[in-house]
Amino acid sequence: MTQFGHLLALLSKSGVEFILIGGVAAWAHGSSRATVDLDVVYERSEANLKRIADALASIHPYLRGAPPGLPFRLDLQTLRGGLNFTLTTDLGSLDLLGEIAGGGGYENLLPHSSVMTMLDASCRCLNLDKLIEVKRAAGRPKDFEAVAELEGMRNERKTS
Amino acid sequence: MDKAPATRLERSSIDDVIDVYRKDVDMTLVREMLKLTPDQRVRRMIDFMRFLEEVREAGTKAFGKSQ
Repeated sequence: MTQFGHLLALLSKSGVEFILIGGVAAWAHGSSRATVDLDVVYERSEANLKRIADALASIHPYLRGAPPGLPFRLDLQTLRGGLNFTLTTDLGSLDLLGEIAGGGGYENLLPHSSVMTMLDASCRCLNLDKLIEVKRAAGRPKDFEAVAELEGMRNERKTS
Repeated sequence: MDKAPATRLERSSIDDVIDVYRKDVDMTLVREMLKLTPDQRVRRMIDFMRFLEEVREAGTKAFGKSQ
C-alpha cells in the first residue's frame, strides 16, 4: 500500500512546490472513495525540478507498469524533457503531473489551492470547486462517480 | 447567427451520468466525514485502505489468487 504520509512528508520536507490533487485531496475534503496513489501537480522551475529529483532519488522512482530493467532515471534532464510521470516508488505509487486536463499547470491551480496540514506535513491542496472541475474534465467513469460524491459534499456544506 | 459558446450552466449528458451516480452516494457517510478535520479524514481513509489490504491478503491466503 502507498505510504501516503511518508510520501507527503518527503516532498514537503524537501521543499518541493506541489499541489495535492486526486483521491487524497478528495479525502481531505471528506470523500470516502478508495485510492491507491498520491497525485500531485508540481511546479516546473529548474530549482523545483532539482528538488524533486533529489527528494525522490532515495525511494527509487520507476515508470509504473513498465517492464523492469529499462534505463529510466528520474533526474533533472528527465523531468525537464517530460511532463507527467506515473511512478512506482519504494513508498508506493506517485503521479507527478506537470499539467492536468481542465486545470493546467501549477501556476494555474495555485489560486485554487490552500495550505493544509495533514499526516504531519504541510502541503497545498486543491480546493473543492476546482477538484470537481478537474474531475469532470478527466472524463473517466470513475471521475464522474467521484464528482457525484464531491458535489454532494459541496451541497451539504452549503446547507449545514 | 452564431451559436453561443457552451457554459457550465448548460447541461450535457455528462450531468445525466453524474445524476445516475449521485443516487449511490451515501450522504450519511458524507455527513460523518464532514464532521472531521481534513487531517482526521485522511487518517481515517488510510486506516480504511490498510484494512482493505489486510482483507485482500487474508482472502488470498484463504482462497488463493483466483478469488
